[in-house]
Amino acid sequence: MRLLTRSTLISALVFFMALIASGFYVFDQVSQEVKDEIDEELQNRKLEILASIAAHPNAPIRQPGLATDFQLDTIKAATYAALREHTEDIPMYELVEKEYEPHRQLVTRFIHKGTYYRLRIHLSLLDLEDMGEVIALSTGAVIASLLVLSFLLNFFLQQRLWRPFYSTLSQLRTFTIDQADALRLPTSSVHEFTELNQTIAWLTTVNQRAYQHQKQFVENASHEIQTPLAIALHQTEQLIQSPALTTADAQALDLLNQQLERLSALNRALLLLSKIDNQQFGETQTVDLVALVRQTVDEYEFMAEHKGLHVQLLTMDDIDVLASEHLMAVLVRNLIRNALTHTPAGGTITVQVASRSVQIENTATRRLDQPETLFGRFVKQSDTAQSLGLGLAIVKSICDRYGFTPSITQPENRFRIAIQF
Amino acid sequence: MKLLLIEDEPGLSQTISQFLQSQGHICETAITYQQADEKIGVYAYDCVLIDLMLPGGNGLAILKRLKQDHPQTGAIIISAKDSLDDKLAGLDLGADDYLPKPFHLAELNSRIKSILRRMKFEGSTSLDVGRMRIDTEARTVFVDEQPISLNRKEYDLLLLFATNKNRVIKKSALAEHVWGDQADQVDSYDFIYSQLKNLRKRFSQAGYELDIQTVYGIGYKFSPDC
Repeated sequence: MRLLTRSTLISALVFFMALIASGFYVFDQVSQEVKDEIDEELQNRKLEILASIAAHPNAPIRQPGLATDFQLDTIKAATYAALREHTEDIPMYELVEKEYEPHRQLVTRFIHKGTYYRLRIHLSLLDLEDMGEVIALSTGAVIASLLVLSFLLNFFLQQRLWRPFYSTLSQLRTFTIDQADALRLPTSSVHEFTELNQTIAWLTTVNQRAYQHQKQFVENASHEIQTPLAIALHQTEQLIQSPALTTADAQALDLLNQQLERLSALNRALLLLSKIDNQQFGETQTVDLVALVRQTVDEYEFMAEHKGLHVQLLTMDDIDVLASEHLMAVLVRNLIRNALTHTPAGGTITVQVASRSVQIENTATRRLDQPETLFGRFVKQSDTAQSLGLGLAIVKSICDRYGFTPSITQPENRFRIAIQF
Repeated sequence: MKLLLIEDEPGLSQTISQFLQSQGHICETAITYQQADEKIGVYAYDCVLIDLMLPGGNGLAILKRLKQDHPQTGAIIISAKDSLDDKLAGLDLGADDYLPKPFHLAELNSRIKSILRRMKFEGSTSLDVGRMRIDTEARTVFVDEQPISLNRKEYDLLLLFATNKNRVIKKSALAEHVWGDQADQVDSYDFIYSQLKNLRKRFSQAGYELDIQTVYGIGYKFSPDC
């Protein structure tokens, strides 16, 4: 739920309750006022009646006709003594409405020429009931229009006032740390939004800069490591030429050389990764994948032969990919070499090019629990100590660079990597 | 042969020049742009190795001047950058080869010899190693003028051995020379053994024993019959 909708709903609810309460309050106040007014009226009438009786002391006192608003009864002395003047609400039958309607009645007593009388004067309360109805209706109307107004306001604010906020949000949603251009955040006259945008702009810039530095650092470090490694490798190459080398020395030298070569390969792989991440393989061209896959399979035939592997190449469709030719060659080579390295002797490898994907499937030695982690850096599945754990990470980097989708599945006893282009 | 090595890293400059001297060349070194420029202006060389990133200037400018003043001098770019742009620019300016760092000395040796062969013998592309003759233009091999049929990889292997005779070549150098850049994985180089076995077989069928021996498991050495 949007913040604005929520705040509107809450305020609408509060207003709704407040208005209902105020409706009751107004009704209570008004009805109190009306009752006071009516009571006053009744008192007035009482005085009128008593005055007219006093004015004509000799006229006989009798029960008035039908059309009057009061009743007179003679009562016993005991009843007279018990009767206290009071007002009360009573229902009375109304001829027009044909139903009982609430009335206000003043009950009082007086003595005229030694006779005890009870006087009851009544007045219709209909006005008050109508008034309550009117109040309730108008309160309802006010509530309804306020609700409509607040939702209209909500909509309008969403459209106008919050526009910079939503614009910022949509930019942030698509923001990636390695994007080339900075965010273009909207300007706003609202203090909070301006501050938010400034903070976001600052934060993204700082992060982008840190990311750039880090990427540059890896590349520079790899470059710097290259020279001493090259010198060390050249020295071992020169040392093994010596005819005076003892077997023990040669073994030590062999081990030294292996480690240096491993270090060198690691360094080159890191350099390649950072170059891919730094997008230093700019030029793209149309790469014929079928040709590339076939060429790579041919090229590594010797390895398959050496390990006694059976390699099968199935090409169904032509796939042209717009990418750096060099990187595509690295991608295909890494996939095929990965399969060649990890297939047990005597196993089979099936390379299939079809429906805009390349699938490489090989006999697996065991099932892996989380095969997708193999795309991570320095993740090794193999028992071969030689593996750097960067081959598939490079594949993943290249896929990320061009928006390809790599996946690993394990259909019974086999291991399959598929790249969807 | 007289070579000039333009390389600003003293350690690298030292090992490469020592190696080139051990191969019977006269090798001079320059470690700054200024030095390189002066030496090229004063002396003539058979082949110049140029590092592109130099203190004081870009190696490409030196290459340009070299090819203007001494078009007969061979030039190899050795660059740590391994960028396609530099490679194309260098070859455009007349560089004869481009070797990305780090490289094996055996590889450098093979490249230099190939250039010197072309430069010195006016395009003669024949390489004689004992009874064996390699026509590097036609990529064919003869023993006693009898052609030996080799596939591309076998030929590449043989050429590296022939240009580095009596030297131990590391297995990794052989693998990289024939199968290209191994940037991302470290393999066991066992497969080289079977490749060499095939190569020997080709020659023994023609009645020639190719003397390639393994040395302490580090590499292989070709000792021709001369």
